[in-house]
Amino acid sequence: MSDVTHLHGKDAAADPQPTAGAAQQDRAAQLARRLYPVLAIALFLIVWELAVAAFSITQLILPAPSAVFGDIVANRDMYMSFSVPTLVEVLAGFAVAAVAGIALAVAVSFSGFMRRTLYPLLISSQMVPKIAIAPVLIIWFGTELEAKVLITMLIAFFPIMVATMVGLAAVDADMVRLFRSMGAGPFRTFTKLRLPAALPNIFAGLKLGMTMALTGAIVAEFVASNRGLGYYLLYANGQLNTTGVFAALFILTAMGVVLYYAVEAVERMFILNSLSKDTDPGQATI
Amino acid sequence: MQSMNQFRLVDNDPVEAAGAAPLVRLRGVGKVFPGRRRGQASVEALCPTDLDIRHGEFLTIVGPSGCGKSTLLSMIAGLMAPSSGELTIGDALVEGPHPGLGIVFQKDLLLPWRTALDNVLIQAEVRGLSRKVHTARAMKLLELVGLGGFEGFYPHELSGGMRQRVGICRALLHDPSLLLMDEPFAALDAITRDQIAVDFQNFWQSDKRTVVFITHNIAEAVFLGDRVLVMTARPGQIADVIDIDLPRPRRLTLREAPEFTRYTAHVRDVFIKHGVLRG
Ligand SMILES: Nc1ncnc2c1ncn2[C@@H]1O[C@H](COP(=O)(O)OP(=O)(O)OP(=O)(O)O)[C@@H](O)[C@H]1O
Ligand SMILES: [Mg+2]
Repeated sequence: MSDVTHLHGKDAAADPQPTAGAAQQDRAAQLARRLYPVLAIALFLIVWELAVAAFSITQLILPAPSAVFGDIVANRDMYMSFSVPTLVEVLAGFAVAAVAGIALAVAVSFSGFMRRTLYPLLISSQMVPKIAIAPVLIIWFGTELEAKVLITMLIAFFPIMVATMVGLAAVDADMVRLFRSMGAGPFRTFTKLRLPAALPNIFAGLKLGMTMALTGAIVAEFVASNRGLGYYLLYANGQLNTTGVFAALFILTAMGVVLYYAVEAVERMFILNSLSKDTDPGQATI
Repeated sequence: MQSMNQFRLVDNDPVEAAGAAPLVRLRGVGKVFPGRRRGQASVEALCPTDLDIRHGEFLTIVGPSGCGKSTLLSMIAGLMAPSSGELTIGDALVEGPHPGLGIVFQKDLLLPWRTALDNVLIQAEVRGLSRKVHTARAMKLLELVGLGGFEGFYPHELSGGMRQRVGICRALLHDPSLLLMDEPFAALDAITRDQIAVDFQNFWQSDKRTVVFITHNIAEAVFLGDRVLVMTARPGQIADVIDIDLPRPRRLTLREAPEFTRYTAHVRDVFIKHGVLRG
């Protein structure tokens, strides 16, 4: 009678355990990948520093990175007090945008009625330049935190919603048939298939949304505020304090990078190694 | 080295089933796809067809592209409603996917974010069955198809043949009485394809359940089937049904034997007679 085990020679010959040497090599390569971006930024700053010195550019036009960092360190308490409100607006605006964007995308993908009514409304609303309506929102909601969170949210929300919708819709039709054959209703198909399949798209939307949230918060502070880095940017500019402007920009950049990678860290917790399917790990994660 | 018989998963006694009512009955079942756009003619994918699928038989369906094989299978699966006729599984009219049904498609359709084991268990999760109870069975099935030790691997870490084997385990997890397979090995290379066909036949012999198996490949249809349904296109219809009277287990070398080639020649002649092939 048949014996299957020996018939699988070809498949089973593959070693299920990766060798220790390969793993070590992997770790070294990973470390190198982490190092490259840091080196690139350092190189950029060095070139900048040298250029300012070599062409003796005045601080009013372009301060050297060392001067900017010096200013940040010297006035760290002041910069901290300006950074916190901006960070709060960004985080609150992003959180609301993420919840609303994903929820609306789910609603639109679930219900044909929503798709025909709500979706066109949302699309049209996005055609209104949000920066232009910021003053109106300030009139309606005042200059407190709420108005700024609202502006941030309006700017960050759209990419999150669109990316989620695209992800939810992009599921293989045969996969849906398979789920139907297993007796899955719309709910199980959503939780077990559509949502996990859409996660890479959702996180792409969230990363985009996070960068937009930063822009949103600064715009809101430009329009009306006596707090935050956006306000400080305008103030320092008015004082012809270019070093101060760059200090605020440096802090904003750092904030943005940290927040971006925070989203990516959460993504990696969710998506684990399945994302590495067909993608070069060097491209997927830096 | 264990005999597959130790792993019998169901007790479908073929003797008891012999002479009994068929598992699946088609009476005048046909499918017409209406033209979508104006001026587009409707397509008769399957002529009204009568067919009985017996308990425990391995039925293979062979035919050229577009002859309605997948359409027929989709209707049996309850994924598509017939335009005419009556289709029953057991005594029940097919109105949706039957719970005692497993399907394997040409694409393995594994979820890339799940391990091999979790991909098999999706069948239990979706049906609301206990994961705990079915984990042991899933492990046993993976072992049976030669994937013992690979249960923790993700689909991208498996070869095409291994992935399709995982898909077969998924289709079998809930112990279906009817297994539908739509060109399950078509995406595999010739060597893997032969191997998986032999393995699958051996597996089926130790675990007899009704199988409907679609293929483009005449030799594969004859090699696997108790009966071969030969279909032709435009309109899709059954041109012939051939009983394959070859002892099992069938070995790959059988393919060169004269009693085997007699059957494949017969199928080819049916295709030539209907103008599917020109000799
Ligand atoms: N959803 C559909 N809408 C319209 N026509 C369809 C649809 N599905 C199938 N057809 C038509 O029905 C006929 C039979 O299709 P079917 O997929 O059943 O063929 P098949 O035998 O499985 O072919 P293949 O071997 O290529 O898979 C074809 O002519 C096809 O164009
Ligand atoms: Mg087909």
